[in-house]
Amino acid sequence: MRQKAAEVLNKVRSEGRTYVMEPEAKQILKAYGIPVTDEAVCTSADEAVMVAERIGYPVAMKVVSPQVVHKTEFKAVCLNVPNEKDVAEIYRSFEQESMRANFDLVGVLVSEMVVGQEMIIGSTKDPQFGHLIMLGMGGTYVQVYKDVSYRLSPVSALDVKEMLSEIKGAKLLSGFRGREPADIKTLTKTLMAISEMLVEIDDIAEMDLNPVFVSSDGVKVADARIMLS
Amino acid sequence: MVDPHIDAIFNPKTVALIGASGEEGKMGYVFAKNLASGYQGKVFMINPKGGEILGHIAYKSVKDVEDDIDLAIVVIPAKGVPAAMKELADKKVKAAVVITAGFSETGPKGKALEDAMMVEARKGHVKVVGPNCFGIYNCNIGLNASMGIGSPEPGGDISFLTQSGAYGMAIFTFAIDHNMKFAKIMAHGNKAGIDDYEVIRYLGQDEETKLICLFLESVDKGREFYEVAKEVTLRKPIVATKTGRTTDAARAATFHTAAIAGSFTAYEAAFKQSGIIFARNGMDLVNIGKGLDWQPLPRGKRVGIVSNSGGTGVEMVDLCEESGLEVREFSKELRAKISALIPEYASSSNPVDMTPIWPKYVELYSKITRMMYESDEVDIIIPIVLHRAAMMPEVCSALADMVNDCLKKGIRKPTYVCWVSTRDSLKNMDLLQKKHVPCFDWPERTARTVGAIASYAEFLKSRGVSLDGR
Repeated sequence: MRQKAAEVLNKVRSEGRTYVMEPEAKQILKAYGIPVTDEAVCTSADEAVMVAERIGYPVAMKVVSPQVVHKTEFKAVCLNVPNEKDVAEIYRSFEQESMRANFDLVGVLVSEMVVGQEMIIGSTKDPQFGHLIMLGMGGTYVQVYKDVSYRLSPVSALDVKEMLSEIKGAKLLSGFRGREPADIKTLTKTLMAISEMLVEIDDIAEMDLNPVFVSSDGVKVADARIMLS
Repeated sequence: MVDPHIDAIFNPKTVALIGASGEEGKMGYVFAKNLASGYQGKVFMINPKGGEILGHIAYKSVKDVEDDIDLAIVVIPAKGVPAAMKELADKKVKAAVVITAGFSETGPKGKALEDAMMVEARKGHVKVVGPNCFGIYNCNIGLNASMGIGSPEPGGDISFLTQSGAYGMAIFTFAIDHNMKFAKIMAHGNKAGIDDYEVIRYLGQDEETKLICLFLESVDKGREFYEVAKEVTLRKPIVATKTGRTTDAARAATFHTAAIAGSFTAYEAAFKQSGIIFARNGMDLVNIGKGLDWQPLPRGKRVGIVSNSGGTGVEMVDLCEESGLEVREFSKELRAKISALIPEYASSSNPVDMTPIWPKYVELYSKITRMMYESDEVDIIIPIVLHRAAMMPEVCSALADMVNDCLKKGIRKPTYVCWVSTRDSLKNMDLLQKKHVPCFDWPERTARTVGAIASYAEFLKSRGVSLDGR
């Protein structure tokens, strides 16, 4: 296993957790060469502003907490934060939310905003067949449209091609209505890197990378959740 | 090298029947009768009472048999099976087919009995098929070690592995009714000592097997199953039905990916990725098997349809498109050639609609079929043989001869007949099927079958496998 990934997993395990928090999940992904958003975990409003200035506005801000598995259930996400004043204010509102909803605020993740087609990449584990990889159209409505395709991990480049052919929305990637065609090559490489990660980290029970932004510039994982067995 | 223990199941030189009986109506009698008819190897009847069964000496125990025993068929009551298995192990029997029910399928008590049996089997390296199974066949050596009646014809090349006994046999007899022939059949019931992938690997290596059909309720060792299947499908097709697709495995999903996945998702992925052709039900399994066994693989997805009914032709176009096939309009040149044969008001486009001019059907079905064989606009030929055409034996014979003539000339292109007719005309279907021109009932089944076969051909092509000679 990649060393950085092993370190993160050891930390999660040593704290008695099976839920891998977003920044941790992204460190694991990064160790396998999977592109993630530029970001940092901040522990003060000042630090958040500093990071936001470095990344450039607008930014995304998210709560980092071992108790917050579904961020939309809390006031735990703010997108398109435009300036210094709002960053500081939102930081403080997250602190208040942590007190109100009674969760531990480990920090606030300040990330770049990314554009592109929202996709989802995920994994689950079948008792007979082992890890499955899912690719599909991402966002909040995944469970409504279920425009997704599954394969056993590891996947080959040909498998990814065939998965894309099963996803209706994947036509949006091929330069639909004057958009530039998305970088399918990097998307394919990303899925193959995830396969490698799943082979090496056998105890990933569930994983959702959603959204993953896919555009002509490449692929970027904007949110990541991992549950260990 | 093939697995010698599985080979002992299908190609035994000697077979012992544990629980043989001369009394009609008993399971031991059914098996004794089946083993005594057609099988060329030596059969030893085992019954503690001794005496004679169907002209064979009955031995009181396998210990009394001097010859080595390759295969034992066990039909005695469940509680006696573990002890019998110990005797088989001591006798160094290579494999045992345990027909007896009353094991893990009945609950914890039965499970304990099955475990006890398996302890003895493993100690003595006896490969176990079953328990709670229908039995096995090797049609090419006349071996019927099953509850099935009579010995099937030799010369077949389809092998069939089924978890369900009775439904498996219903599928098998339905296939035989449709003039299909089999090589090897195994019903493995509770699968206590044998995994699907071991049998698939064996059949993949078996020269007498050209096509593998599976009827599955569950798969154990899914990964091995997937890896073996992926390798075998490149050489020979595997068609599989899997029942129990809708009962969702109880799972505590946290995220989307796991929540959307049902219990069949992993199977579906494994089938797609390994090139296993998925049949939605037992009848589709037979139909797809028939199409694969008798006709060459399609080189593409372009279908040419010739019909004596415009309505059926149009329905066929819809269903073909829904099954991933293409029905394109023929070129001017091809249309002109076809138009010269049919009335002015008939359609020479695709589908070709001959209209009700039945005196000319004999000539037209075969001539238009030949034109499609000779045309590079068509990869798959579907003649719709409906009512009056199906009632004319001369139409069916002429069409069968034309298909075989074109295939003999080396045009590797499949013909699949869509059959829509009355019950009395079924004997005419035999005229086609006896000459290996497969017939499928009605457009829906035809389109679905052809779509599945064409996807397999596509799978092979995309993986760089040549279709030469296939």
